[in-house]
Amino acid sequence: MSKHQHTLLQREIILRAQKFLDAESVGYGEKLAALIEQLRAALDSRDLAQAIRTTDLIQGQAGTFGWSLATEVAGWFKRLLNKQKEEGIKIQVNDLFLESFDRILTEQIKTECEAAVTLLLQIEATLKHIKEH
Amino acid sequence: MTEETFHNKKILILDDDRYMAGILRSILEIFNIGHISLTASTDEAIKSLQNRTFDCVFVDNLISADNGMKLVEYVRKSQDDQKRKIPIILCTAFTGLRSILTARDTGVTEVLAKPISPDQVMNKLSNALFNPRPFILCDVYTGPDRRRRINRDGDVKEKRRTEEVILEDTEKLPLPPQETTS
Repeated sequence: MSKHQHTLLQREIILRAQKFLDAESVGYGEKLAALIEQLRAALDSRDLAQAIRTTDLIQGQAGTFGWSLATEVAGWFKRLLNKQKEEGIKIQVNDLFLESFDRILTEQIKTECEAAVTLLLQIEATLKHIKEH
Repeated sequence: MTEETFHNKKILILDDDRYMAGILRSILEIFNIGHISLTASTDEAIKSLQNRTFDCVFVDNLISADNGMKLVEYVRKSQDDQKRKIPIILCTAFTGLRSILTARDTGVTEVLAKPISPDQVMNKLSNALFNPRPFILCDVYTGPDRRRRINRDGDVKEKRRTEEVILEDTEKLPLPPQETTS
């Protein structure tokens, strides 16, 4: 909670709004899956602008519904996709991120946990490996 | 926080992600905001501002390459005094120092960090609408007072980058090597 002193009425309103958000979160996994499919399709057709736009959407949405790791990974991926606009498409990098998103979905890795740390370390190590070769 | 209500307030939302704009609108509707307009592009938002009056604007920073700053600049450079002072709340996932300073120096009133929570939306909106900071209009900056430090008495600390402050700070620094006495 914040340092603000809310009145009882305001607390009730905030609680109602939080319940609304929680209800939206329940179905968000499906929406995230659809966005990841959209991202895959954009990369398959080498449409970088659309891929960047989709990572934007994931970054902006996922955290609000409890999928903080997806937001984090989308942020990384977006930066790398922006680089690819100048340096050319890097399929290995893109596949790494698509696989990571698949794992986030199938293993339901939403926020900070051991699985999240493991996944981030794997992404980092693989990116380093790709860069070195 | 007092019992001010939002029912007579008019809010403009600029977000090209219609889904997230809808989520924010739903939260604001639960807050009993009287009128909410959604726009999906900076140009659309500017047109809305030209035709109607709003009490507050929410801008998403992923709106375009300008990170929503084009709209902030449009509002702060307006010749219409009322429009120029509209509170602007920037919704952003980027909460690094540089991003926050850029937003602040462009004239953003409040920064709402993502993931958004109703608690934070309430706080930022209440601050913007019912507890506005003094508005500064000078050659180098237009927007709400960027100084936020509050004294125990509730007064804003009067510290600016004036010559006096610079002198005061300089006096505390050690003399450079060429000026030290041997």
